Formats: sequence, C-alpha cells, structure tokens
Amino acid sequence: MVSTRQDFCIVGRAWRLAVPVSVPLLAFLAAGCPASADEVEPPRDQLVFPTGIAVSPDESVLFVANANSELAHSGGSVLVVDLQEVDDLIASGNGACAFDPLVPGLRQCDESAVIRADAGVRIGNFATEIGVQELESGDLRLLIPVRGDPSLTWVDYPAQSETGAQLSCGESAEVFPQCGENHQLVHLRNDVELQSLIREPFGIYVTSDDQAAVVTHLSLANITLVDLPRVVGGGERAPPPPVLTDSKAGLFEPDSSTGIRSAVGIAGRPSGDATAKELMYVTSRSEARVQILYVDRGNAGPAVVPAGSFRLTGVPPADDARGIAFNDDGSRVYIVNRDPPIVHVYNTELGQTGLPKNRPVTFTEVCRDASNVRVVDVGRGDRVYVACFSGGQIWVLSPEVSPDPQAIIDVDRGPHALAVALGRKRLYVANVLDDTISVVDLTPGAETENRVVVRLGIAKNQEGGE
Amino acid sequence: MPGLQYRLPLRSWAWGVVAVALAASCEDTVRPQLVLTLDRPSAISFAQVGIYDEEGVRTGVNTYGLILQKAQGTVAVSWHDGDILPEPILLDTDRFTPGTNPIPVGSLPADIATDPSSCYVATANAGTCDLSLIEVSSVVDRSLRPSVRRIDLVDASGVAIPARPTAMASAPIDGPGETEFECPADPQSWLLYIAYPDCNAVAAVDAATGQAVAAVQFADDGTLTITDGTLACAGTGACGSFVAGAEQNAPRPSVVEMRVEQAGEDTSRRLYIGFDNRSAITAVDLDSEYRPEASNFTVSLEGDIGITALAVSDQLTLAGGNEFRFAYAIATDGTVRVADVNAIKAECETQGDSRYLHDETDQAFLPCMTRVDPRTPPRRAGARSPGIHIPGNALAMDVAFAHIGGSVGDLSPTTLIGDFAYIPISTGQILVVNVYDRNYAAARGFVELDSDDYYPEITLSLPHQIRDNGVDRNRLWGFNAPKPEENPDPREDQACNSPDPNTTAETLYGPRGVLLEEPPPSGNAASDNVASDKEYLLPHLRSVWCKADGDAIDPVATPDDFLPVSELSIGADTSTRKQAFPDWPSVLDEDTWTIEWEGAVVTGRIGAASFVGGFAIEDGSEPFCGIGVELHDVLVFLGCNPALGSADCALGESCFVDPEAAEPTGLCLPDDRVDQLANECRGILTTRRRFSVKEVFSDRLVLQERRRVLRTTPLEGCTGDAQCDTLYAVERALAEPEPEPSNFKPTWLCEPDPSRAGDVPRCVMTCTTDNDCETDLGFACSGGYCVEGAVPPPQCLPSLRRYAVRSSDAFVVTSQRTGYTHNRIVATDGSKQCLDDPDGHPLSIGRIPLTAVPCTGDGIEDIEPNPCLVTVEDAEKGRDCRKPLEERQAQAIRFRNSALTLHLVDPVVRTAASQECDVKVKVNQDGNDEDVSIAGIPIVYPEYVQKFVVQGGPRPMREAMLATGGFGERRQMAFPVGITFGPDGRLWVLDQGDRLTVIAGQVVLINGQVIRFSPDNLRESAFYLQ
Repeated sequence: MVSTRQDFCIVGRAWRLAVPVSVPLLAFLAAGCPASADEVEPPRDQLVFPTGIAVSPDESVLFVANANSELAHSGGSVLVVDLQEVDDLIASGNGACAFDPLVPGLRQCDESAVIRADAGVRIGNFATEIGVQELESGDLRLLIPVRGDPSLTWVDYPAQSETGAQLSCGESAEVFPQCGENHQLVHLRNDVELQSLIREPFGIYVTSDDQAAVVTHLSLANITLVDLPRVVGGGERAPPPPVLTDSKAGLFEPDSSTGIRSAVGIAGRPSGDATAKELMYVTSRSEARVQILYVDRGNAGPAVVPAGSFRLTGVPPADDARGIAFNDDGSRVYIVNRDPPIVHVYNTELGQTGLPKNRPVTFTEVCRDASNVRVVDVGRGDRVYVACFSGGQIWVLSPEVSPDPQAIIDVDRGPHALAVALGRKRLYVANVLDDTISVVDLTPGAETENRVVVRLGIAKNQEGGE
Repeated sequence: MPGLQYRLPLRSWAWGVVAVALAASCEDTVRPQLVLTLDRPSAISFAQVGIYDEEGVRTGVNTYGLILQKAQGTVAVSWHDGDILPEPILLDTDRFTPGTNPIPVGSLPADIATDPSSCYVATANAGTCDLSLIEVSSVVDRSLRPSVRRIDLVDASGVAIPARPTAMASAPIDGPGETEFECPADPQSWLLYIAYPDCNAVAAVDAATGQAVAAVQFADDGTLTITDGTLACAGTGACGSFVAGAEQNAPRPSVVEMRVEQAGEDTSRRLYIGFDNRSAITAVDLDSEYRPEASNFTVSLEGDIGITALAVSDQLTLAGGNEFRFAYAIATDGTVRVADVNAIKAECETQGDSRYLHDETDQAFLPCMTRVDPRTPPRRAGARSPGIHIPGNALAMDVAFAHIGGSVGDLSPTTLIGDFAYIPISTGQILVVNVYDRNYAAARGFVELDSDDYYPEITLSLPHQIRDNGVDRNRLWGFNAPKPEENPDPREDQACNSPDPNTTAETLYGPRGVLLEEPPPSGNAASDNVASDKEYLLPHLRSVWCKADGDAIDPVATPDDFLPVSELSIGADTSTRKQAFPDWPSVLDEDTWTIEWEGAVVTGRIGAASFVGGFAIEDGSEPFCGIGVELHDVLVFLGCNPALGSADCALGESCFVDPEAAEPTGLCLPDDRVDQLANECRGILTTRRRFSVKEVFSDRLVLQERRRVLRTTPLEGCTGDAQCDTLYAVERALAEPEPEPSNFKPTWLCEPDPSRAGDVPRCVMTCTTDNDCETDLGFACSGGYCVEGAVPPPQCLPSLRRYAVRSSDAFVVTSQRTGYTHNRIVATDGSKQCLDDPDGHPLSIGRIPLTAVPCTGDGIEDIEPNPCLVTVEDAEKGRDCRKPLEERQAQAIRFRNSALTLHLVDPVVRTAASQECDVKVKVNQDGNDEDVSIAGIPIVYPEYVQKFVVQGGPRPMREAMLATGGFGERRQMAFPVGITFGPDGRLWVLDQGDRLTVIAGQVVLINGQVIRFSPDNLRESAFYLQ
C-alpha cells in the first residue's frame, strides 16, 4: 500500500522490486490460471488511483490519468469525464448517486455515470500529471509523464469534433486502445542512440504559447524539454508528434542526509508580454532553492536555459518543496514546502531592473504532507488551494490577508491533483487513495462555497474493506 | 506464559527453551509513545485566579494560559502558580478521554480574549461567525468538563453578521482581587472589539449577548464613522458569504490592539487598528465603558502596505523627559514600521543614515525622526522603507513590548534595562530591538557630547535599532592597547592589527577590514605583468599610522613607535575609523570584499549569439540591467571545459579545443561539422573571445571588437605614435626588468578607441595579418587592428553559450554577502535600454575608475561626488629612495558605499617628491638602453585584486531560544508566529512549526510548542510546552 507520506516514490521502487517477483509469479499464473486480456485491462469507466487531472480549455471535460498504483490491472489509463454531466448530477442527482452515510449532505455518485466509457485510452503504470497543449486547430494534445515506462505519453483529443470525441493514440479505431510506442516519447529526438528519458518523470508544464513543455524528474534533479508542434500542415490531420529535444541534469544539489537530488514542481510566470520569454520556476525536495528557466529557440533548436535562482531562506530548512503556482498576473508565486509545512509567498513583480523581484512576502502555515497547489480568483482575490495528502483535506488560504486558513475542506484520502474550471466555479480534487474525485464549489457567497458538493466514485472505506 | 496446566508432546528440554523465550519476551519493556498535545498554537490569552486561605485572603495566584489552536478549533490550557509550580504545565481538560486534551471551541477560531475579571474567555470563530465563551471556573475545577457556550454574533438590529472575524481585542485582565471573588453564573457585559475586514469595520460586541453595541465603520475614502453597532455587512447568508464589492476599496481592518493605561487619576483607553489594505494605523479613543468615542486620529505609513500584526508600547519617558508612545506594525513589505502615537503622531524613520547623526544632540528628536523634519538624515542605501529591516530573508511574524526595570549596570548586550521590542522572525528566532535602552542612556546618552568621543556604537543603541550582540565596541587599539608582557615590542604585538584571537565570541570590538593578503597578490598574473620589486607601485588601500606607543608623537622622528596599517584596520586612529565605517548598522559582519581590476560583474550565465542587426548576445531572461552592465564592458564567451568532455555542450555538440588556442577552453561545435568549423572558426577558437559592449538592453548586448590597447597609456591620453613605442617597452620592462630582445615588433597608433569609454587617444596595436598581433596571448587581426576576438561567422556560435561580463577600465567592488551594487534600471519606454537610475542612491555603486572628478569635501557627510579624486596622506615605510619612512601626499580615489569608505592610493604610478627618486624602468629601444620614468603611468593589470574581510560588524541579537523543557533538552523554534507579554511578567512565544526533535530519548515530531521566557534573559530562562 502506498505510504501516505510519499508521492509514489516508494511505489515506484516497489514496482521495480516487484518485477523479479512478479515475472515468475505472472508466469505461474499464466500457466495455471490464464486470465483474459479483458479481465486484466483497466476499467474504462472507473477511477483507479487517479493521480493527474486537467480541465479542457473550454471546461467541457476533465481528463483523468489513472496510475494503477496497485498493479491490479495491466496498466493505467486516461479517461474523459463530462463536466456538464457532473454539474447535472450536482443539480439534480440521479440513480447513480446516493448520500454518503458518514458525511451528512454529501452526495456520492458512481463515476461511471459521468465518464465517457468509450473515450479513454490505456497507458503505462504510474502516470503522474497531465499537461494540455491546445493545437492551432483547437484540438488538444495531452502529455502524460508515466513513471512506470518511463515515458512521456501523448494522446490527442479532437475537441472540435462532435459530441462523443474520443482520446486517440493514432489511427486505430479500437475502442479504449493501448497507446503504443509511437505515442511514447522515450529518447531525445526520437533517436535511440541518444539519451533515454531520465527515470521518474513527474511534473509537467506546458508553456503559455503551447509550443513547449518542460518535465521535471524526481531523480537526478533533471528536466526535459519537449518541443510541441502546434500547426497542422500538408493535409495532415494533426501536427507532427512532440519531440524530446533537450535535457538538463543536476539542477539541484543532493539532500545532505539522503543523497537524493530531485526536481519536483514547475510553473510558468505569466508576464502579459508576448515578446518576453516565459520564465519557469522549478522546485526541489532536496535543496532550498528555486531554479528559473526559459526556453530558447535558437538556430540549434529549442533548448532549456537555466536563468538564475533564489534561495528559500525565510523559514529554514525549506528543502522539501513540492507544488508551485503563480497567480494570474504573475506578481506572486506560491510554493508549498513540507519542512516545515509552510506556503512560501514570493513577490515576483518586475522590479526596476526588469527582473522579477523574487522577494519573500509572507509565510503561512499549512497542513502536513501538502502536495499540489492552485491559485484561484473567483472574484474575492487570490485564494490558494493546497492539497493535504495525509490529512485528506484541502486548505484554502489567503496568505496576504490572513495567516489563518479561510477554510479547511474535508475530502477523501490522498488528495493530490487539483484542477479548476473557473467558469463553472469548480475545483476538482483527485483523491488517489480512495479512487474518487471530489468536486468543490467555489461560488463566492454560496452556501456550499468551499464545500464538496459531490464525490465521483465510492470511497474505498465504503467498499468494505480497504 | 504462566498457567500452563497440561502436558504437551515435546521433550522437556524443548519446553525449557520455550519457557525461557517466553519469559524473556514478557520482560521486554515497551517504551510508551510520547504523546504531544499542542498542535499549531496561534494565539494566547491569560486568566488569573487567586488562591485564598480560609479567611478568604489571597495567598497566591494561579495563572492559566489559554492557547488557541486554530486549525484544530481547540483551546489548550496551561497552568502555573509561580511558586510550587514555577513553570507551566499543560492541563488535561477532559479526564474522561485519554491524553492531555484541549477544549473544543468551534471552527477556525481567529482570536482569543479574556474578560477583565478572568471569569470567561472568548474565541471569535471564523468558521461559524460566532463566539465561544469558556467558563474559566469549569476549567479550574477539573472534576468537570469545561463549559463552552456558543453565542451568535449579531449587529445592533439583531441581524447576523455573515463576515469572518480576523482579530479581537479586549481590556486587559485586572488580576485576582485581594479577597475572594466568585464568578457570576452567566457572563456579564464585556466589550470585545472584533475586526471584520470584509465589513470594513471593527465591531464592539457585548460578549454576554453577542450583539454589537457600537462599531467603527470605514468608508471608501478612508473616513470612519462610529455607529451604534449597525454594520453594512449584516444580513442573511452563511458565515463567510458576505462578498464585499466596491467596499473592498475601503480600509479593511485586520488587526486590533487595545491599550489601557493608568496615569495618576486618569485612565486612558484607546483602540488601535491596522489594515490589510491600507498604509495606516488608526487610533480611536474609548470612554470609561470602553465604547468608541468620536475622537480619533490616523498615522499614515509610507508606501502601499498592509499590516499583519500590531503592538503599542506604554507611554515612555525618554532622555530629556520627552514622552513617546510607539506603535510597531508588522508590514507586508517585510519591515516593521514604527510610529509615535503620542504627541508626534507620525511614522518614525529608523533607517536614517547615522553618519549624519554624529553631531545631533536633540534628545527629543532622536527617538522619532520624521520625514518632515529637515534634520532627519537621508535614508541609508538599500533600505526599502523607513521601518526596521529584518536581517536576511526572514520576515517578522509578530511583536511585543516589555519593560525591564533594575539598576543600571555594565554595558553589555545581555544587560537589558529599559524598554525593548521582541520580534519573532520566520527563521525561528527572536529579534530584540532597543526601544529605549536606559542602561546605555545612563552610561553614554545617545549623543556624542564631544567630537573627540569615540562612541560609534551609539548608532546601534538608538531607539528602534536591532540590539547589537557585541561587546567592547569602542575599545581603542594602538596607543590604548595593553602591551603583552611576553612580547614587549610594540611593533610586534597585536595592538595595531587584528584583535586577539582568544577573545570570546561576543567580544567584537568595532568594524574593521582585515586584509586577506598583503597587496599585491602573488601568482601568475602578477609575475606576468609586474616584477616583484615594482609591486608596491600598484594601486593599494591607503595606510595610516597606528601609534603603537602611547607616548609617541612623530612617526618620522620615531619610526619604531609606529606601524603603518590599512585605514580600515582596527589600529587606525579614531577619526579615520569613523570615516571608514560611518554608519555601523550598514556594515555586514564577516563579509569578504574583493576589489578587482576589470573584474567580473557576472559569470557563468547562458545566452545565445545573434547576428541579426549586428553581433550581439541575447539572454531570454532579460538580466542585463539587473546585472549592472554598462557601455564598454567586456563580454567574454567562456567556452567549454575539455576536461568535462561534452558536458558543457548542448546535445549533438562536442567541446573542441584548437591546439593554438590562447585560452585553455574550447568551443562547442556540432559533432557533424567539427572539422569544417575548426577551420572556419579558427578566429574565435584561438582568441580571447572578448568583445566590447556597444549597446546595453535588458535582453541583449550589442557587441563590437575590442582592440588591443597598451595598459600603460597615460590616463590623459598618449601624445603620439612614438610615445606608444616607448610605453610598449615600458609595459614589457615592468614584468621583466631586463627583458629578452624580441623579434615581435608591433605597430602602434595613438588614437581614440571606440571600443572603450571616452575619446582620449590611446595606444592601439595595428596590423595587417594575425602575425602582427600577439597571437600567443589570444589576439587576432581584424580591420587593421589587433583585437581580443574577431566577430565570427554565425555558424561558429550556433547554440547557447556560457558568458561572463567584466568591467572595463575600472575596479569592480563586490562583497560576498551583497554582491555587486549598482544603480542600473530598465527604461520604461519599452525600449528595454539599460540606464542609470536618476534617483539612484549615490552610495549604491560598485566601480572604482583610475580617475574621477575631484572630491568637494572630506566630511563624513560628503558623499558626493562618488567616487572622487583626492590627495591623502599615505603612511609607508622605506618605499622611496633615501627615506626610511615617510608619510606621503598621495593621489587616491575615494570610494564610498553604504558600509564603508576607502581610498585606493596610487591609481597611477606615484610621482616622487624629487626627480631623482622617481621610479624608472630600463627599456631597450633601437638597440639602446634607456631609463624611462614611469611616474604617472597606469600599470594595473586584469585580475589584479585586493581582498579584505570586514569583521566586527553589528551582530543582531536574535536568539534561537534554545529552550529547555521538562526533559531537560534544549531545542529551537521552527516557525514562531506569535508573542504576547503575559501577566506573569514573561513573554510567551507561539511556535507553530513542525520539527523533528528528540524528547526523552525519543525522536518525535513536534506539532507546535509554546515557549515562555523572561525578557531580560532570553537564553537561559526559556521554558517550553508541547
């Protein structure tokens, strides 16, 4: 079982340890107890350790990456949740929903009622996040770091098509297809002679111009640059595939006690200046420093360029940073740190020199084992939503208004990924350990503001026994 | 396992083994898991209950600390009586539940307050917009469960207030009476002032009913109205549902503090309000029933800030009988703002440059210098605001005042007598600030009564300065220093040099610069450029006399009684030391300074060469204005390190080093074209790859080729080509007294050099081919001139490159702790051009040229022009011919920054007093030897460096509070968020931070702790609760 204090590293290691065990075991099973492919295939309409979620730009669907962390199935999956169906459930409910006997007023619904069963695809195990690239045509391309492979798996979604759009990993007409090697980025420049994707790909950020993505790696503190063609040409239906084009190693120093060096979270600073290079900030769980990067598109091709850094010295040791997010205008960055559990708020406005000030503004206590963070302004100023993995909560903060949480939202076990649909005033929380998604109402002034209005999926403790 | 009654089919000896094993397992001790109680304490209030004898006479006091734990929604309770139980313990408020239990009060309680009679404690709950009232007697009587009542908060009309409270203030507790007092069964009328930022109001709520009976309501324009308790935000809706629209522009009160003070027959009551969106503190007078009166005033604070915490001192009578009352406000810009809320009613400048205060004697002025007062000194360079700046990147979290009485004693950091502020900071320490150090005032006063006085540490003792943790600050060296018996020779003892290394850690003496090596530094650069016997001619830090013998008078007459020491030395005379470090608070302790000729302002960054519209380097992070690049600076393409293989290169590139390269580095070339480019790019591969900056933008530097110039060209320019030939011979002779004849015969032209600043003619090397240039030194021929790098074809620099920027024709001054300081900004017209900030502070500079405009004054306050040219007395021994010792009148460049003033003597070779003592070198021209005077010639070379470390700077008193607890361990705070002065005369710190620590031999995770300490003994008195 995954430790509640770790974000799948132990699982990852367990998986690698499990291989020499599982291979003969699987062989035995295959010899004596053959299971059909359908039986081991991940379910096409259920959540199985949902680790990554992302809302489509038009807020019509929510993409969910299932990690299959227990290896109960042959692999993970990416599913499509219809957000209008979700809102309809909230409004009226239907036979798919019932009230949680343990939490008064909380409606929980079978997730299959809102998942488009024929729209998903199968991928490898231990997916982490989902990056969404908007193509010039309006279609979408999803990029999913998959630790189990390791690969960056990419999947297309024809958002502009009629209702019933499906994720696709190529030309196959198969329903719920397995994304093959042609949709897994494994080598730099797709050249087998060149470096493979460093293990433990974890975080991903798609640049605001949708032309590149940067992936962080939990091991070796690496980052990988992905070039993302946007434009369809020459009668093709989709742009050329993305390409891993650059890799930078050792961005951070190793932890003095464990020797691990790690890059974790990444976010881009909105600048409002289309001519300026977008600066990206990367956090580490081995060093109390934030590294700044940008993407250069020179004659030699796209490259990621280190561009300075600043230390997190305000609340030491601060060497276990996780999620990071900017507010809409890029004037503030919020960095979740676990040691001690603090949200660091930095002023990233441009100073007189034209550089971001990168000066601390405030520090706010947060829950233990916090992971991801999102900044939302629904008309009440910036609100910071922090996922508290071990506590099963979402803390809502306004650090510059008050050091106290504005609200503490109880969700299910293992909240990790967060996604926001601003137009719908919804926050979606993927609860990894309970295979559920909590939907939180963000409507300012509503009675249900900052409360879970529906749970998609049945929490494991109600399934009788896990 | 006892009680086995039946036989089992095993051999008897086996059963013996089993029995032993079982017995052993039964004796294993299981260490009980340590249970910690506190979880993120955030606020504290106190109740005091008397201990009475049978006659009802008070014999003691029980003090209860009510510790708010916001996230948990509980109140933990501590108790001590100061007698039998001198240190507090945590109480279990629920004996029916295992553990030491706190009291559940509600959702997200924002603040806590006790009624003056200590009968009830109230929490304002932000999660439910109501009050919780804890009956203190139910806590005291531990046979019961604590009684907690929930009271809805309503306005004057009885309408609910659906806005979240953020802070609460109440009148202070009275303390237990002399005779026994029984608390009423129900709470009596008692006003709580509750801040509602979303309502733009502070409501005065009767805790007994929950009803607002008055309110201070703020309007959009900032004006306030006292209402009857009617609130604009009252209405239906869930707690927190009130959404302030346009009202958000109105001031949002977020913190409140009440002060009640008895002065003779009069009692003053005042409510102070801070805002999260307004740079101001508002004070509202309260009547005898604690209701707000119309009388109020507002003190504006500089800048656009909010306030996160606020404390107000007692009325203080300072030196000269002047009365002040100070408000300290933790501001969102990271500083602590100070205002007088008594007579002056204005913000105080705490960052005034103290070099301007040495002659200030007005004791009524110094405690609060306001911006409108013309005597207030200019703000020191680098200060962001007039508030107290927290060292490093730490932030202030809260503040509390404490008054410490006692008789004046020896001056020492730990002798705290007077009024002080204690500020917990985010790095887990308590910062101590002098509000009024009575001990120092009694010993010295805050003014220099005599110009000969050497009390520079006065600036550290002024009100609102962070307390300095050093002793012996004004210790004089040199003549006042004792001569060690074991070493009677005054020239050899430490009197004139660095302090005794056996001193204690706190004995810091005054700021001083300790040269790290005798100038000039040895090494290849030196030997290649200046022979050892000429090194003394290089620019160096000025020396002054240290009087090693107290009776000595004349250094020339009695040279053995004097030592020349650096002007930054602790052995310098007091006047020089005052000049060298005129503003002690600006000095950073243990800071290494480097002064390097044409030194680097940045190195190791990555950029891309561009050939569009000219040769340039581009850096997408737009750093060049922030770096401080100036016109004519030198851009160096650093190349790759072949020892690292291709690690320095991009994908698909290799590090190629041309065998004839002058630099030990290569260039990254595409793998598939190495051979081709090795030929095409030979120019850039074999040269120094240095270019002059022609234009400076934030995102790119436009470059031009940098010509080979004789470093011995006079500053006023050369006079002709023939002179250049002589100067070239001089340049060679400087390194080699008798240089070998050379077949290399360069050609020089005396003309202005566009690749350098100014239009004075310089000796530039001309050429027809590369062979006419010093190719072994990395020069090549381009456009008829020998250059440090020719503009390469684009294919030679296809990808990103590491680069450095170095200054040209100037020393670069950098410190390890502050880096390179400059006044460059980016233009606001969208051009991205880098400019000098017209409002830049004159002390924010980092370059020293070899010449400057003349200084206009020598006073400590004469900071412009900066740098400037001056003649100074430079002490040295035995340099010039015939004289063993002299004090020269030497030319120097005076350089000032916020921390120090120094003089770089002999920017060019000195002119001796007599011509026969002029320094000469032997040159060979046209086969003839000739002695050539080098007086007035610059001989400094790149990489020439002077280094010193500044010691003895202020050491902020910031105690890490190595508290002891019940188990005797000492541990630090993790994240202290609050501090309160308790009725027991102690300060209580609330540490929210999680930290792994060892308690009773167990490694445990602390979820928070409360630390109680005596304000006059931070280190030894601290006691913790967890």
